[in-house]
Amino acid sequence: MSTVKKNETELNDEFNIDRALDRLEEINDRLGAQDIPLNESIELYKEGTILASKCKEQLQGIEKELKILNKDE
Amino acid sequence: MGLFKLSVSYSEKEQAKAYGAKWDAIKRTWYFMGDDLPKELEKWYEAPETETEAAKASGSTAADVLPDRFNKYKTVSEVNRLIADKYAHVPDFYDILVKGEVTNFSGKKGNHYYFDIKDDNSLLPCRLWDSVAEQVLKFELEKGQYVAIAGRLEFFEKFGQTQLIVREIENIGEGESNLALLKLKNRLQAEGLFDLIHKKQIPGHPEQVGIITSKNGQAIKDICKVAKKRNPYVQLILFHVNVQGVNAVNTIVQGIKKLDEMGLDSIIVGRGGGSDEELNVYNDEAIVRAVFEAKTPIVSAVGHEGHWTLIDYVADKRVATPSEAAEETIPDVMADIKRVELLSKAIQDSMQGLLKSRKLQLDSMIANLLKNSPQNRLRENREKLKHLSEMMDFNIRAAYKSYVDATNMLAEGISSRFKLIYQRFKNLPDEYLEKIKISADQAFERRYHRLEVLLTELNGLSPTAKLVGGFGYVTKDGRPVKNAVDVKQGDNINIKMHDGDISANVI
Repeated sequence: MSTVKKNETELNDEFNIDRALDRLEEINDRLGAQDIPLNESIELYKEGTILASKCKEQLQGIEKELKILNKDE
Repeated sequence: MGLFKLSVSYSEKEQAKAYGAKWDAIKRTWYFMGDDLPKELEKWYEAPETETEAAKASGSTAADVLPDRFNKYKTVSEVNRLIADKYAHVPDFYDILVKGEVTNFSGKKGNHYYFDIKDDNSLLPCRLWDSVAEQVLKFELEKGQYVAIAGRLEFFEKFGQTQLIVREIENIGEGESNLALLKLKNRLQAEGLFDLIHKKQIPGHPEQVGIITSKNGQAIKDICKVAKKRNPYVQLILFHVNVQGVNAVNTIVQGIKKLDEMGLDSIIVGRGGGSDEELNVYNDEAIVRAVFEAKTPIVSAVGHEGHWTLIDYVADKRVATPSEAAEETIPDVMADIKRVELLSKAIQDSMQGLLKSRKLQLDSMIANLLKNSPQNRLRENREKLKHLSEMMDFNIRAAYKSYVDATNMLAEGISSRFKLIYQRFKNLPDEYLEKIKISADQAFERRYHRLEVLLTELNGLSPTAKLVGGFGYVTKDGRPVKNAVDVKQGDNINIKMHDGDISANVI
């Protein structure tokens, strides 16, 4: 179990929102094509849904308060 | 010598002028300058309000409830009026000649020029009315210029501020501090510190943004406000500094280094607006170099539009206000979330559309397959056969019916003819019938007899009948032999008798 968890964390660390958004655009364009094979479309759909929810997760984090480094000076 | 304010209506102005009244085009009031006010001008004289009148005018309600011992305290307006009156009675203030470096000037405000002039220790606020500027301003006024001004000092009661009202102004060269700044700027520029090649991109999706400003200033409030609205999920980290004063440069440099070490996405160095002298901190070489050396993208938000300091040239991005800096470093996450939602929906729709079209394709293929199946073809043929057999049955019945109909019709016709003939004969008298019978018999007898005669004659003509009496019919090679010389010795001949043939050899 611990190995799986570690892998997930690594994946999250590599996650890049800009790349993810670009990839989402790409997937959307490809899925819009008429000649796409069924297998490919299913794979892309799967990838797209996972990416979209990851993006939202990444964008909507926890609200942060201002941190003052040298408060007492 | 004193200044007497006069209240002269437009229609009386020539009259007042004649008695020595003067028009102040700047203040737009009439006045008289001299030791004593001439009698003729007294009717226009506007005496300064008495203290009690001024108190009334200020309409202070608080005064009513204050203890008596505060009665002798003046209001702010009263004090400023006092100063203004004193100013008005100092003749030297009417003709001031002063030189200094223009500062805190960022273009005309409304119709007038507001700026300060300074030397190493002091500042003097100046005001140049537009109507005067049209006459006397012969150059493009800019900060850093060294100017010579003739004018008068005036105290503005509303702000409690002394201003030099410019009457004449002349450009007499570059100011010293401005020259020093220009020299530093040129040196740093030559070193390449301001080159575009060093400008770093501000990350589009930051997680942590550093801020170097005062924790008590307006700048941090503005930044927090904008950041919260655009993306409350970004961590803002403030390094508090004094934005002016002796320690300002050191703490700002320290802040840049500290935040840069933290590996943040970007850093804002900023403060709200201020005078050129207050913003001068951000012209310091140490700050410029610290910004240049930082690995983190830095946005400068110092001062306001029209005030550039050296940090603005070296920063990766320069904006006019702290709010703009927040907009620059913290993109609107709501727009991104909306984008993801739209993309997500588009992907769903595309997939559904694809599946739907595939299903339609499949349905049409199944239909095609069923159409061409053996069962279907068998059924079709069976139906065809049934149809054909029905047709045949129908045709046969139709043909048979027409045959029967025709036969019936024929039979009916024949029978009706026979009936007619029979009727004709039936109605004949018996002797006629007998006669007919006899003549019919006779006709038969005659014909029979004639037949017999003919048969006998026919028998007599037959060649075989002649052979009965021992005659033979001789042929050679199928031809009749009519003379004896027609045959030679050794010939094979055939002799036909009445009951058979004889083959013979002539000897």
